[in-house]
Parts: sequence; structure tokens; C-alpha cells
Amino acid sequence: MNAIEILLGFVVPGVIAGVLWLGAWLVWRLLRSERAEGDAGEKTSSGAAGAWMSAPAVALAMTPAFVVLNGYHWTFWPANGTLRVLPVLALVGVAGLIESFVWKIAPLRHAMRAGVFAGVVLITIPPLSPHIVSTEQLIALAVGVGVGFALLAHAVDAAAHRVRGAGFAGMLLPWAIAAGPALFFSGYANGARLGSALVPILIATIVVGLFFYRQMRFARGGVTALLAVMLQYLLIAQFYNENTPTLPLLLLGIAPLGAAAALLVPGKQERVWLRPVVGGVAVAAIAGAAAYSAWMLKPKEAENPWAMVPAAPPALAAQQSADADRS
Amino acid sequence: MNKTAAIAVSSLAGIAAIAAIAVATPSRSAVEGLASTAQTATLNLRTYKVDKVHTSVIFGIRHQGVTNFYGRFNEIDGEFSFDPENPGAGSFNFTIATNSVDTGNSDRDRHLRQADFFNSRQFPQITFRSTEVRRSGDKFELVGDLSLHGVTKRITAEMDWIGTGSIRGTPAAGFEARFSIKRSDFGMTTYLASDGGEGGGLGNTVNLIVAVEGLAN
Repeated sequence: MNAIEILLGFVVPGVIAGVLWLGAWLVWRLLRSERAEGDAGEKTSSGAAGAWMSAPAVALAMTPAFVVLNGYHWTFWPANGTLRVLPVLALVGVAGLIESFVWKIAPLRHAMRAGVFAGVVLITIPPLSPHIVSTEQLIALAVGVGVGFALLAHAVDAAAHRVRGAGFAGMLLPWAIAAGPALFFSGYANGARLGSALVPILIATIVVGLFFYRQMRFARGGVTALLAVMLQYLLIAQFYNENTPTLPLLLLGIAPLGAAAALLVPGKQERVWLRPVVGGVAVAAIAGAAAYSAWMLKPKEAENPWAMVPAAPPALAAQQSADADRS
Repeated sequence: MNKTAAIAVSSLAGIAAIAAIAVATPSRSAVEGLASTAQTATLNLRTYKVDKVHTSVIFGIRHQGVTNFYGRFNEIDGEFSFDPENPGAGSFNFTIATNSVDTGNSDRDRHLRQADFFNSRQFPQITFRSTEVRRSGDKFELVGDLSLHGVTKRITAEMDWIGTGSIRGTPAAGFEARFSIKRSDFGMTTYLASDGGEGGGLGNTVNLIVAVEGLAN
């Protein structure tokens, strides 16, 4: 990997995410000050800066990582199901943005999340249907993944509401770091690189969040976006690759659930630092298990076919050596 | 015009018409000659089915910008018909099983079959359908559509028609074709350098040699 690839694949996503977060915060500040002037000194809502920006930030920041990964050769809707990354990024960006505005309507929020996760399945898997995945299996997969990941997102989103900004991004950082080796050892190098692009995005969130901690939230669309992006790589690794162990991918999929451990910490102000630590340790434990199991379960190299020819018996070898010396 | 004159004019017109038809109609021998030529062309344009045992599909690609390594596909099927005297009538159709890729390393072969490269589950076959064959010096140019990884591109291969013969009484023929593709053109970009050149983990240019032996149907 040369300097340009590192720049475009890792640095640029982080910069884009950071700039978008800062931009969202500035917009929030502007709106807040205008509202404060309009209310003539009345108490204003503390709100959350750029809660609506989290999903678009993830989608927009991931785009250059995908483009550089493909050597600038890409189309929006390729026949190849493993390259349909941009449609998923568009889906999570737009749906996450909408979710941020309707998040108070719980049934709609849950339905939207389930729809996004099912949509990721329906974008990624159909090229394998019906010869690898039957139509019935595809429908069952879309429904199952939609409902399952919506429940997962609900739990993680709850943590995102309690642990804001840098803390929440820090909790998920081990997950993004572990995604690289877990997907790589599952035989999906492109997914490993794309999954790793979440690392600079989360780091950018941490950096911005350190300054504007209380105003930043990854809830309201951001959690859905992060999970949906990773879901696509899990689906590709599981269904497009042969003989891929399911356990590491399953662990990687549910690792963000560890963030919900932060909810176990009593909500006292002096313990505010403890929540992301507890959640982060839980996420790291599950994500680490995913990477480790991927390493342990990766298919072992088969016998070298050329080594199948039995070696000459020692006596024969010695005889041949002696013959060679005489000649 | 009296009756005699009318008969004379009609007769002359009739003779002229018959003469015109006679001139326009090829002689019996000429018709036979044409039929014979067509028959010869048809006879020479024999169709051969790929003899998988004696057919090789070899590819080479740059690794880390420092060397070339080679692999092959072990499963190729198809048929071709060709007459060097009438190359335009030739036809070449082949399919290659992507999961038969063989580089002498099982780990690498498994990775090549997966999503990062050939994506064999979605694209189990590479296909080639010729659209044109033309002479180029003492060799031929084989033009056709190559479908790989869900993308179809027109390619031109340099073909050396090696010849015809007989194997255990069965007419046989063979050729060797060489061509290059850019794998990025087919959406296969894993470990490709960001400049699309040869300096990445794997180069962009793939050189292929397809040496086919066919047995008459």
C-alpha cells in the first residue's frame, strides 16, 4: 500500500468525517444563537449538534475509501454483487438522515432501521439467487437480518444516547479495528480494507467529540449507518466466499452490542467516564474474539500437491548418490 | 405496321430476350464449379471440440512490481471451426470454469476463487465468443467478446494456427492465441495500484496464452 492509497483510503475518510462533524456543529451553534436571540433570553434546548449529520458523515466519508480501493474503476450499480458498496452507502446516508428527523416516532424508527438492514441484504445478495441462495432463503435472510439488526441497533442506539460524542465513538473503535483482521482472515481482503476505513471516521469523531462532547451524538441514524456498512461486508464474506467460518462474522456483527454494557453503569455525573470504558471493554472483548476466531478457523493450507510424491527411501537415495559419484 | 413486320419485330425481341437470359445465366459447368467451391469451403470448415487434456490456458501477472507469476485454468470447454484459406468464416466459442484456477498454491487458489477476485459463486464461467477472424501477416487476429467477472469487453488475440492432423484416426487441429487484458476493465481491482499500473500488490495487465487442441466432432 503506497502513500496515496493510505492518504485516500484512511486519511481522507477521517478528514471528511471530521469536517462534516465540525460543519454540523457550526450550523447547530448558529441556529442555537439565532433561537436564543429570538427567544429573548428564554431558556433554550441544549439539543445535540449534528445528530442529523452522523449517517451522511459515515456514508460520505466511506465513499473515497471505496473508490480508491477500486482504482477509480467503479459504477453505481455493477453486476458484481461484491462491488455494490455505493448503493448501500447512499441508502444508509439518506435513510439515516431521515431517521434523525423521525427518531421520536418509535414504530417508524424501528421500521426504517429494519428496512435499511433488509435493504442491504436485497442490494448485496440477489446476484447469488437462485443458484446459491434460493428466493425463499433470500426473503428469509432479508427479514431475519432486518429484524435482528434492528434489535441490535436499538440496543446500541440506547448506548449512543447515554454515551455521547467521543465516548461512543471510542467504544466502537475496537470493533472497527478488529474488523480488518476478522474479515481478512475470512478471505475478504477488500472488506478488511473497507471495514478498516471506519477507524479514521471514528477517530475523527473522537477528536471532534473531545471538544464538543455534550453536543455530539451518534444516535439518530449514525448507529444504523455504522451497522449497515459493516453488515454488507459480513454478507459478502459469508455468502460470496466458500467455506467461510460463520462464528467470526457473527461475533463481528454483534460486537457493537457490547456498547450496551455502558447502560449498566449508574448514571451519575462523576462516573461519566466509566460508561465508555465499560462499553469499550465489552466491545473489544467480542470484537477481539471475532478476529481471533477468524485467525484460528481460517482454512488451513492444503498439502502441497507436488509434495504428494513420496520421497525416495533412504537406501535408494544413498544408492543413487553413490551411482552419481561413480559417474 | 403490317402483320409481317409485327411478327419480325416480335421475333427479334424474343431472340434478344432469350439471348439476354442466356448471357445472364451461368453455364452448367460454371454452376457446378461454384457449387464445388462452396462445398470445398464447407468441407474445410470442420468443427473441432476442445480436447481438455491437451489444452492449456495460462495467465501471467506482475507481483509487487518485481516479478511475474503464472497460473492456469484446468477446465476449458468449447469448440471452434476454422479454415486458414477462409478465415472470415471461422468461429471460436469457449467457456472456462473460474473455480478451476490453479497457481500451485491452494491458499492462493481459494482466495482467487472468492469475492476479492473471480467471485466464482456469482461468475462461475469466463466465456469467449468470436466475432471476427482476419489474417494478419502469417498469423491471424481473433476478435471476440470476453465475458469475465460480469463485464463483457471486445478483445483481439494474436492467433497462430498451428495446423491440422489426425489423432488415432480422428481429425484434429490446434492453435495458440495470445492476448492481454487490464483486469481493472473487468472490475477486478483487489491489490491494484491506485494509479492502475503494474506497481501494486498485483499488476493490472494480465497476459494470457490459450493453446487449444481440438478433435473433430
